[in-house]
Amino acid sequence: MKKFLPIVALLVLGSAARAQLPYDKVALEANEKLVKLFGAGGYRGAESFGTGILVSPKGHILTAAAPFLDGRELRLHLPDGRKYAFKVKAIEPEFDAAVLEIVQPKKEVIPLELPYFDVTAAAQNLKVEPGTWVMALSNMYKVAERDEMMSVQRAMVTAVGKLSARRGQFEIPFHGEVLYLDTVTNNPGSAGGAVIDRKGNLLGMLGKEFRNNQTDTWVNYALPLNTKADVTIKGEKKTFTLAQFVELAINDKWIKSDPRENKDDIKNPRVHTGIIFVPKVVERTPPYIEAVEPNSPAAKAGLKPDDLVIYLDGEPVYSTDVFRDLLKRYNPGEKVQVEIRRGDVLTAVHMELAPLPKR
Amino acid sequence: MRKLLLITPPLALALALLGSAADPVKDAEVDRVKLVQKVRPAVVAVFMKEFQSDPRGRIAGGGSGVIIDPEGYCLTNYHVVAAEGMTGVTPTFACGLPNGEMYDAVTVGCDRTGDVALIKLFPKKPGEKFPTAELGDSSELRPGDWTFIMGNAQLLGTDFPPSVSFGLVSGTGRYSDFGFAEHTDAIQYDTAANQGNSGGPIFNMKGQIVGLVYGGAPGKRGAFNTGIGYGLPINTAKNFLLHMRAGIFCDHATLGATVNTQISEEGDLARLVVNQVLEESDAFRRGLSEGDELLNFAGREVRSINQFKSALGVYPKEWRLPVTFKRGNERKETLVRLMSYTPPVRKQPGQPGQPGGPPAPPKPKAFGEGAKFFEERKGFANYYYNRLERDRVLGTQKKLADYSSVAGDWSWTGTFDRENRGGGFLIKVEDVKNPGDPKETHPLVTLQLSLADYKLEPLKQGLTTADLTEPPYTGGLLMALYQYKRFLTLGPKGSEGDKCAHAGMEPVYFMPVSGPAPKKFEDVRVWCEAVRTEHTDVPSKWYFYRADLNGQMPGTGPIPDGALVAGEVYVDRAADPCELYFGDFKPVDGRMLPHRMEVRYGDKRYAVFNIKAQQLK
Repeated sequence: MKKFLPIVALLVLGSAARAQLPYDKVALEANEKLVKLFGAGGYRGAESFGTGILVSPKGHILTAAAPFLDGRELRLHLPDGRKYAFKVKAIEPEFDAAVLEIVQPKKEVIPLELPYFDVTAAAQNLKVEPGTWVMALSNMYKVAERDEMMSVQRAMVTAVGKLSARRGQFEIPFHGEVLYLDTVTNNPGSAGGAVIDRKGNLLGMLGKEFRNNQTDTWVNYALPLNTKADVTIKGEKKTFTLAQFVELAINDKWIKSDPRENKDDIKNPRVHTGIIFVPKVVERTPPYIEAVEPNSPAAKAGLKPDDLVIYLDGEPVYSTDVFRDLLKRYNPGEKVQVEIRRGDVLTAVHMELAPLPKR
Repeated sequence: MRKLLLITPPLALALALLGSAADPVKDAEVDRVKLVQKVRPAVVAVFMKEFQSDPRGRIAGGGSGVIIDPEGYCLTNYHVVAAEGMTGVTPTFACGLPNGEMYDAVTVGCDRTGDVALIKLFPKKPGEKFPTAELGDSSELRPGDWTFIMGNAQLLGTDFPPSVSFGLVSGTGRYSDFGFAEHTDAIQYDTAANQGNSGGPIFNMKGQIVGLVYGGAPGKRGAFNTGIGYGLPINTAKNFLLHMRAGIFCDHATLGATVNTQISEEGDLARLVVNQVLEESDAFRRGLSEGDELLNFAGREVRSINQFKSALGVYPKEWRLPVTFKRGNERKETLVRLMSYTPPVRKQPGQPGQPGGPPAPPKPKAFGEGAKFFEERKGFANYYYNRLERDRVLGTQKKLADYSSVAGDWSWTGTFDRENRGGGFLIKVEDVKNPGDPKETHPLVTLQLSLADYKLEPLKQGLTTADLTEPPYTGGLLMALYQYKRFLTLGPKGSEGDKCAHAGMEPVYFMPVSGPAPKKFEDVRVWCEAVRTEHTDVPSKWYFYRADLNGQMPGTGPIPDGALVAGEVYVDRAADPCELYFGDFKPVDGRMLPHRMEVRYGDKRYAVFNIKAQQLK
């Protein structure tokens, strides 16, 4: 009869495990180690905000190498609502990641003592595989400010594999292993957010918004802390993990990799629309259509002279130059949505892009 | 060997049990399925019908809803019931329940700013009850909590079984302004919600409604469901629920002051500083002024504009709520009445009914059973339900004390307490002595306090505001007593131009008659239903106690359910009203009559009257 006791105990344990795990507490604790990043002004089509992961008590931050980090007026909001300036300590294109540092004002004599993720330890104990339930925390869409909490999403790791994606015309620099997620985690401002497991262990950093160049679908992914990249430093090729990059960057020991040949820099669009805009007379000539070539994609879409182009696939078109720049992202045969103003009415038309005519 | 055999069967059984119990994933799934089955019958598919293209009615759009009352009251989004052009409401709907039946429904009330509406389904057979879901507490939600959404996603459920999706709360207390809609204190979730889910319930894992789906947030990819969706917290809907039940087209509120965040130095926490106060606001009269630091609003700490907007954006106009502010080193907590705030409908050129756009579509036609219960009137979504609720409140009061037969002279005597003063008092509210004499048209109100003697003929021409607000520091106690008697004896007929209307639910604060001030205003808060009156250009509001809305109140003594317990009388609309608070109810000649009346003005007590004898003729 005595033998029953452990079994009964196990039964009780079994039902206790059924009780819901306190995700709210796990999320709240992780939130204490994340910051909201803000830059000045929006670079065309890119956001001037993002998310960062505190990786040292003194205020070092891991984030994605977003364009706004190039700007001035860099500010961040700590989870308690305090606002600080920060500077970029290291950017590594091979990881598409950056390490930042809080700039304390001179009046503050005591160094910061912030909660943080120990990236090195987390990378050593990293346990993640397809099927792992995770939570993603980020300031997507700039929903939160100051002491407001990051957005929390749950997701499942659907695959661990190499990243192959594009954003507009640019190939992304990082080609190492990433965690593919089944939730729409990679939104504007999400890049640099944290992916944690159900116990709150840091697994990786959310990447930027990217579109898969084969399926044309948006990719939701994160860089695991132990993901590797080959970095060429002073002509010598070495392999580092993301965690090693962070560790070295914090200690001022990271040397930026040699610039790669930029084979993706496209000078001219590869597609033809048949739209003839009004002559460019000022720097920002409004994109009024002057004429439409017969039988061209624009003619088939029903565009007419005097239409004003407002958006191309949701991106604002401020001038004829912007339209031309945006077109560089597309390949012949792709369909785009063009929103126009005709008279007082806004209309959207769909246009299938044609290859450039032979001259 | 024998022993082992004996042990084996129970062990095997235990192991089998263990096997099932130790699979938490499977068990969680079973629990989840059970929960969905439990709440499913109350989830509604709301359909609009148009009669232009098909005289029999064609389904033209729709959304989701959830039934919260066995009588068929159902919550949904305002934008689901909004008539096109956003100026009115669609009067009637067809509502499908998961039992496969289609029911007629009518719009009852709505809150445009909060994007919530109350509709009512009509049973097929009289007396038939509807399945309901329980209202939860959205303030308990935390980011990371599981929730599920049910509703008519993409209007797929043409035979009405709702879709279910499951996900996490991504954020709470969110403020976001999309231009076409402003969401305050919103729930943010990662759960899939699509068009058609609008107005549908968000359930917690106890199967309680914690929110309503606003619809997905439009992402820059032009698609919905981009991993972010917003919901109305159910507690906001609860604040407006009795307003909506009373057919009101609800207003949100403003404090009457604008605020700014200020950071003195980098690394410091932000402060919320008042930069302008409207002079006609209650906040101004309570002493809020430029430069004051706002600390707390209605029990919520406010340190950013978003927090303030979320704390404020969940309340109807005219509610009195505690506000804490700081000037220098001095902290002050006071009650402030919120002002009305109705954002203008953002008219876009090119939209139907707007300049440059096609003509507005014809007004939606009322159809079915609901058409009998729809009455249009300015300020109301459906006036029929206002009259219904108002008459219910007045009917309950009449059961407690029917004054209709005593519309003559009233007099009260007893003792009064004022700061450092007291003594005997006499109050007389006399009606016209000789109704046959056309010259005698002035009723008379008299108040005698020890040596002082005040009189008012409330209907006399040419009275100044000073006359009307006698005695001093009461805001017009004589006028208030006249209005009180008129309302109790004449009911809705005592108001001009049908202005007697149900005004929803409001908090009323009963300050202790003796002893120290309450630690928190919340401790003396009583939830009441309000009825508005207006006579001789003096608007008043009367508060009726509802036992089911209140827990046990310390120190107030038993208040009869449905009794008139307080009133506010505005002699001057831009000044503080005279406030009356009634207590110590005892039966006299078959009527439950108050034996204590406290008179307050601004944030101070004028006097407490202990009524010893009253004559009602």
